[in-house]
Amino acid sequence: MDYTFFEEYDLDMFDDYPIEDKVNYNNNSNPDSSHSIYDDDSQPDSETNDHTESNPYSPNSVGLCSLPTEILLLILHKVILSENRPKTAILSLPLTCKTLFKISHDPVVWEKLFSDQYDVLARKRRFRICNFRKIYYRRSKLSTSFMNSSLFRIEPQYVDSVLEVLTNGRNTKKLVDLCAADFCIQVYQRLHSWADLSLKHFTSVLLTIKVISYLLTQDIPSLDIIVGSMAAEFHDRVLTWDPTKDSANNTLYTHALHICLRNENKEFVAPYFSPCSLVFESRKNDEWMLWIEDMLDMFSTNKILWCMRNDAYDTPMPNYWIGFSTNSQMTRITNLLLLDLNFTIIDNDHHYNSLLQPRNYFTSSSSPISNNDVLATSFFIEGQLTYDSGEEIAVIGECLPLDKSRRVSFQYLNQNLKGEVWEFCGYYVATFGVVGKCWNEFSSIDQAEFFWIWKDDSL
Amino acid sequence: MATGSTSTNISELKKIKLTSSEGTEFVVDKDVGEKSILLKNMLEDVGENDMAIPLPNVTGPILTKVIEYCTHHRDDFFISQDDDNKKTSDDIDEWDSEFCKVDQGTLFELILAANYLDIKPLLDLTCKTVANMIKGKSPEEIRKTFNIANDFTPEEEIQVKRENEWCEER
Repeated sequence: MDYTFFEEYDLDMFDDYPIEDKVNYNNNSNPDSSHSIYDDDSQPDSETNDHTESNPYSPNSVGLCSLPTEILLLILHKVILSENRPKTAILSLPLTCKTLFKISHDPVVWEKLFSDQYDVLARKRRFRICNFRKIYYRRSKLSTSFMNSSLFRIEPQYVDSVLEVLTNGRNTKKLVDLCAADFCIQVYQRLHSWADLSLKHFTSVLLTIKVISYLLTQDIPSLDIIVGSMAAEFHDRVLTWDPTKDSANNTLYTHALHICLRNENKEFVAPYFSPCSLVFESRKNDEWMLWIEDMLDMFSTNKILWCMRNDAYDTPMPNYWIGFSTNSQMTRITNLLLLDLNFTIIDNDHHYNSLLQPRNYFTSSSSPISNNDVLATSFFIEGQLTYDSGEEIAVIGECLPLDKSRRVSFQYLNQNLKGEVWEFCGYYVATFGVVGKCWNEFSSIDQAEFFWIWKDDSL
Repeated sequence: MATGSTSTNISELKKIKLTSSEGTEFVVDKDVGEKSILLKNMLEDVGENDMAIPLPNVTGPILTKVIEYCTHHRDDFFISQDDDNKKTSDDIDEWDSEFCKVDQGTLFELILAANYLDIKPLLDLTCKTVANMIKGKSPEEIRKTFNIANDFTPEEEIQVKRENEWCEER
């Protein structure tokens, strides 16, 4: 067995191991075989089922690892269920022996457990390919009581009523009903009365911001006041947010930034944000944190957001995107073609580490490839960015579903500026597209400016 | 496994014969034997006759235990697999817990017999028992409990540990 790829691919390595291997690998429990470090004369634990005088370890007796695979998987399933946090199945079993290593990484068992416990269909749409073993374990670390208590703070007055509205149908129009807007107003007013939008009220804050953010995409005029207030509230926080120290919730900040940008750019006027914001700095230290947040995001907002996402989140994405950037050379973005952009949960930190490293997608003469393979870890894009002057530049590059589905990056080749290569780096948030920073090859992210692109429904 | 009401019918009074791998013949009530889906299907297929059903994969002592289990639970309704999966490994009643206090070899052979005979509740019970023996143990303790050899090389073991770094407490 080759363990070379553990770090990068984790259990993917076993996705396609042959049946023969499954059949034959249950033969390693021979206590006489040589091994390296735990080699001792340990006797069986007194707590085991040694209630008879027979020797359970006689050569003819059946050993744990010699049981058929399907039975070992059943035992694994029960080991996992026996603990609130499946530490034994995650931490101990893989280190016991190679047989149990393989068994404990069985993707089908973990996916089944995940599916049994959580909203199967909705989640599966999002987790097109993912490591259910990690997800299941990490979710088990969440403090659901904390999140519930936070959610319950607003639920009696607001959430129930909006849920009734939102769940009453799957039509997007339901969300632009006044009831939903009223809900936002009420929740926002309550939130605004709290001096500090601290983590204590994290769930309700996130909920509200997301609802407002979503409603913004519907262009509801009555929300202008709220948007303005929210933008003022978030302005300093967005500018000063240091993701490496204050990564309370990147999704929240992305939504906050969206609100700010929306507020400042009703007519696509360049926002006054300076590139000094640290919003899109690299976040080398929060890769685990982000994971938790993603889970938290999904859990805490499940009741409302999945209703909304049933309408917008999981629908096939349109090919063409439009938007703007704050760069004076390129204020409008049109006909940006994003191919096969999927929500995927992939551990590809090796991509992340190279995210800001110089790359060149343009040395190859081959055309961009539409990659429909759900196992793909990157997606190609092509399209046009159009200046205000009408000049167009070709866009070609790779979109990486980094940071477990949210981060998007790509490059484009500015043919009108002597083949200048520009970097785009941002977050793809459900309903309103990608918000991020862009900079050319002669500058750094410190000089980057904001961009915001969204699906072009007019096409 | 849930306990249901006792029912008496003609089929319960009928006997069937089973032959273990050593050739030992066992006579059991038909309703007890039919706790095994395998036997139930066989009986339905072959119809009524006095021929013993050979069970070459089950030894006499294990078959005795299996019959003991099925006899004790002869009046139980077996609940669905989905419902049963929701039960934790702690949901083992006292009799079943005592029943599973056997040596590991017997326990594993019971698992194999339950799997072969298709007796889901017994398979579930025995697997839960093994799961409870694994639960909360370190790799070394699991090896010690089940007398498993560590077949990782030191390098492989380091790599497996590195693979698990993502789930360490932070």
